[in-house]
Formats: sequence, C-alpha cells, structure tokens
Amino acid sequence: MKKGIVLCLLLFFLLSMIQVQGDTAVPPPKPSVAKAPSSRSSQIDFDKIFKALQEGKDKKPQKFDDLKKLLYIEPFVTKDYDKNFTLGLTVIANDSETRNVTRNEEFSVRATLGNPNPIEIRRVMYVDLFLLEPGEKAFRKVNSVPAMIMNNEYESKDGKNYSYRRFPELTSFSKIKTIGPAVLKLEVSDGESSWESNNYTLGIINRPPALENLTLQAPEPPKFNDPIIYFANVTDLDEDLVNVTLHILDAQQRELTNETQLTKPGKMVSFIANQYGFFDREDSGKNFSYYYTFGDGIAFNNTTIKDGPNLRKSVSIWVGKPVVVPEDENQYWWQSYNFSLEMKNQDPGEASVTTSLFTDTKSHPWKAAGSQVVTLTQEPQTVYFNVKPFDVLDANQTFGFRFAYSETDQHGQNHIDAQNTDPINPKLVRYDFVSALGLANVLIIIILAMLVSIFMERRFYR
Amino acid sequence: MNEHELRILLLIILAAILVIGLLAHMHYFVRITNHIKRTSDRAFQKEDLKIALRIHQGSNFNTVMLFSWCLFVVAIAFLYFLTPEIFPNWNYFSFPKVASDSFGLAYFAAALIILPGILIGIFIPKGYKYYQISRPLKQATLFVPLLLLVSISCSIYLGTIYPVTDKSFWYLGYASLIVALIIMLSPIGKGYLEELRA
Repeated sequence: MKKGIVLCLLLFFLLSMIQVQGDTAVPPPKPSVAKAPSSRSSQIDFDKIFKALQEGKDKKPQKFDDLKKLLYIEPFVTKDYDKNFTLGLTVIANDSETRNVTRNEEFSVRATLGNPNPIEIRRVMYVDLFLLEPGEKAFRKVNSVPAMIMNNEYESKDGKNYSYRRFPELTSFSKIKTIGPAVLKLEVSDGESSWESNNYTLGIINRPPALENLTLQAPEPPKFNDPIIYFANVTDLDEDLVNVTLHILDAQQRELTNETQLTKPGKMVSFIANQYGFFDREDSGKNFSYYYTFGDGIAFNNTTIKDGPNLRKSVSIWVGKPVVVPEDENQYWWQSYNFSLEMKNQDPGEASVTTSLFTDTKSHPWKAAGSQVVTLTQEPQTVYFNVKPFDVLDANQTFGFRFAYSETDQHGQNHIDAQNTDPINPKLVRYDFVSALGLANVLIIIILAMLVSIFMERRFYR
Repeated sequence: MNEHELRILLLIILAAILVIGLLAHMHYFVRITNHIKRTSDRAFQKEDLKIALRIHQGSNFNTVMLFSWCLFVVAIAFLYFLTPEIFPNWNYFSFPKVASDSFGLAYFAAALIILPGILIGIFIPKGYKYYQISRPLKQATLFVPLLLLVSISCSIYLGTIYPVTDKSFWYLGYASLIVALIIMLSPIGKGYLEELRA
C-alpha cells in the first residue's frame, strides 16, 4: 500500500517536471522544423525524463532513494480517526456458538469488526483468517483473498458500527488427520495499520469407529473347507473409512494369519475363510479363535477374542458305482427311480457323511432330489435314493445325476457324476383314458359343467 | 396344405361359424326393427321391442344350452390346447404341476368352465329367447352335450397317448364339435332364415 502511494506521488512529481523542464532544460524547437502539436512535444519530454530517471535508478541508486524519500508524503489520516477497532471471532455450529467440533461437523467462522469511526473518515478494512492446526507450529492463512469491508457496510448497534464476515474456505475439518485444539485468529488492516484478534481455541474431536454384532457363520461343526464366514457391523459417526483387520488365532492364541479390509461405515464387513485360505485339511479337528482390530486412521481399537471355529475332524471316503434303476423299463416320468452309490470310510472308525442326490435334465438342471446322512465304516455299503425326481417337462429327455457328499472322496472330490443314456419315456399323461382316473376326470368335468349350468340358469335366466 | 395348417383352418372355420351366428342374430334384430317401423306409425324403444319379442324357452332347454356352451368351451380347448401338437407353446403340458396331477384334466376343465365358460354362458344362451324354437329342434339340442362329450373324450384319449397320435380320433372329435356347434346355433339360423323369407 505504501509503495503504491509513493509511486503515485512520483508520477505526480514527474508530471510536474515535464512542465519545469519544458521551461528550462529543453531547448525550444527550431523555426525551420515543422510545427509539432503540443502533446507530441510533451510526450517527447516525458520520455526523456523517464529515461533519465531509469538511468538514475541504475547508475545512482542512492540518489534515487533520496529522491523517493524526499517525495514521500504520509498517508492522509484525519486527527479524528479512531483506531480502537473491536475484533470478534465466533465459530457457529448447529446455530449456536461452539468450542468443540467433530471432524465432519459443518460449521461457519464469523468475524465481527467494530469500527468507531463515522462513515466520512472510515477506511476500507481487509480481514484475514489464520488457523493453527493441531500439531502444527505456525498459523496458515485460510482465505486466499482478504475479505473486504467497505465504508458503508456497517450496521449501528449500541452506538458502535459493526460489520460481519464469514469464511467459506473453512467449514469443516473433514480432511484433517490430527485431532486436538486448533487456534483461529483474525488479522484486520486498514491499509495503514493492522490489528489481530484474540486467539479462538476450537477443539477438534474424532469419534472413533465401532465394530458390533460379531458373528461367525458356519455349519455346526464346520469342516475345514465349509463356507465359514466372519461378519461384523462397522459404524463410524464421522463416516470415515474404517480399516478392519481379522486376526485368526490357534488354540494357544498365537496369531496364524490376518486379513484387512477397508470398509465404509454402516456396512457389514465379511471375511470368507475359503476365499482367504484360512484353513486347510491339516487344521481339521483343531479349535480356533479370532478378534478384530479396527481404526479410522486416527483412533484404533480391538475387539475381545472370540472362540471359533472348532473344525471337525476330516475323513476320507471311498465312493463308486453310481447307478440308477427305473421302476420299470418304460422309464415314464411319473415313476420311481432307484439311485444308488457304494460308499465306505477309508479311515478307521465311523464317519457321518451327508449325501445328496441331484438330477439333471434340460428342463430342470441339477434339481435336488434327496439328501440323507449315512454313517460309514470301513465296510462298503450301498446308499439308496428311491425317488420320483421328474415331472411332465422331463418326458423324452435324457438325464444325468450327481451324488454330492460332505467329505472328500478318493479323488479329492466332493461329488460323483453319472449319465443315464436312455431317455425318459415321452408319454405325458400318466393314466390311460379307459382307467379309473381317466373316467373320473371325465365325470368331474360333466358334473362341474352341470352344476354351473344349473346355477346360472337359476341365477340369470329366471 | 399340411396337417398343422389344416387344423388351424378348421379352427378358423369354427370361429367363422360363431361369427356368422352372431351377425345373423344382430341382423335379425335390425330386420325386425325395420319391419315394425314400416308397419307401425308409433315410435318405440329398442329395449321395448326386445322385451316384446321374448319367448320363454323353458328351464330344461336353458339348462341344456348352458351345459352345452360350457362343454363347448372345454371341448374346443381340449381339442386344440391339450397336447403340444398344434400350439407347442400354449398347451396343457406347459403347466407341469397341473399336468403331473392325477386330476390335472379336471382342473384344466374347471378353469375353462369357471373363467370363459361362465361369461359365455351368461350372454350367448340369452339370445335364444328371441326365437321361436320348434319342439323337434329342442329335442335335437339334447344330443349336443353327448356330441361334445364325444369330442372331449377323443381329446382326452389323444392326451393320454401323446406323443403317440391318432388322427382319426382328432377328426372325430372335431366333427362332433362342429356338428354340436351347428345344432347350438340352428335356432338362431332357422329364425333368421324365416325372417329373411318374410
């Protein structure tokens, strides 16, 4: 500002010099030279002065500075100008002043400037907001352009003139990664002098995330390769992304492995054991436990240790000879089909194995046809499924079938497939026309039509 | 013309007979109205004319015709929509839950009687009350349910042996159906012809 005033005065001086030099230093134009307009003459003079000053600045800097000092005039301020400005700073959240805000809470910073001067002698005021973030050592300026208060932008209150400004550059601390007290202050300038407000200390609070409803979803008791899923509800009032780490512990509570997921709050985090390969066959028969650690980048916490899963002992079974025998050779869709499979336990002792049958036709791909739990020993035994798995849409189609079992067989598989080459008989209706069912259907149709007719005759024709 | 096209053509003929019957019935009224307008100098309402023309045909006749029209709906649906032969995508076997049931045919027939059958039964047989129906013609209508039962039985037989087919049963079923339809519409046809002669 001061520099600007000096330059203005220098320009004024130079213009004065034009007149002076025009009178003394510059010789008058020769009569023989064509007459130039007076403005042209002034331009030439000014150029010479400007050039002389530039040369003086380069060659005689000391004299140039002396000249500047000589020409400098103090800014004009009346003697009545009162510099007792009042500076106020307020943080408003949820329509009331606050001294603490959470990281994602919206707030506004309001600056109040009390100016005792009447409008005639007021000066334009420039307001800047400075912030000292938690953990930082120096204030930083929040607003890139100073907020200006013009002379007429005041309202009178209790004999004083007040003006207010808000700073849209600072409305939350959502991006801040350190919590603690932040300090705000104002700096106000009238171009001549500047004043600072008192520090306003604002506590920044982080609300830590929480992990709730920890569950372990698995068959009871689960096998090592069963679908074992760890679930937990993630919440964070500040809506920060939460790092959730699942720690798997062995029976001695030593950590075996851990996996981390970055989760949005309000969602359920899940860890599928098979997907991460937490357990393998060697873990069969062992007990495990788990806990979570979680954090939002500022606050970290962990859950208590929870038991599970307790994996059941795994056995190896032998399977073979998947066979289907229809009720009769016609293979009608409505008949029973006897599916069988030979099974035995390859390990000593008994093993309880769930065996399921699925049939596969074009109309009904892999339809569940039955399931049973069988106790296997080292003696081979045949497991039977005498079922009616087909319907009318399966007529005239070939079919395949699958035995699925809860233990691993000699090939490391959990199922065995087979195909029946002969198609299901194409006949659709299961009874003959001249049969009890066929005649019963005709009789029902007649009786129904008769009853409806009698009803309608009585209801609509009388 | 192949077998499928022929059967569709035969269905169109059935529909055409029904439409002709409806048009004859409507034209019958137009002619009577015009005739009365010519011979009478008094203005009259159409509804009054209908009331004046009503003839009570008797409860037995009405019941037989209602019964016949219900069976007609079942017979035509069974003939064309029981097996996938004519309409592969629109047939009884497209509903496997019903078709697999022991009384699936009865369910199918019940649905036909209750939904379209009742609607047809309410309106179509009411047309008979505007015609003078002779006793021999009324006696002839007693054979209509028998003819329709023959048609339904043929269709059920074809359904029970499907995918084996027997054309003769299908045509027998169609023949009995079209004869039954002609007898059912004959009171209207006869009355219309008499009106044309007048």
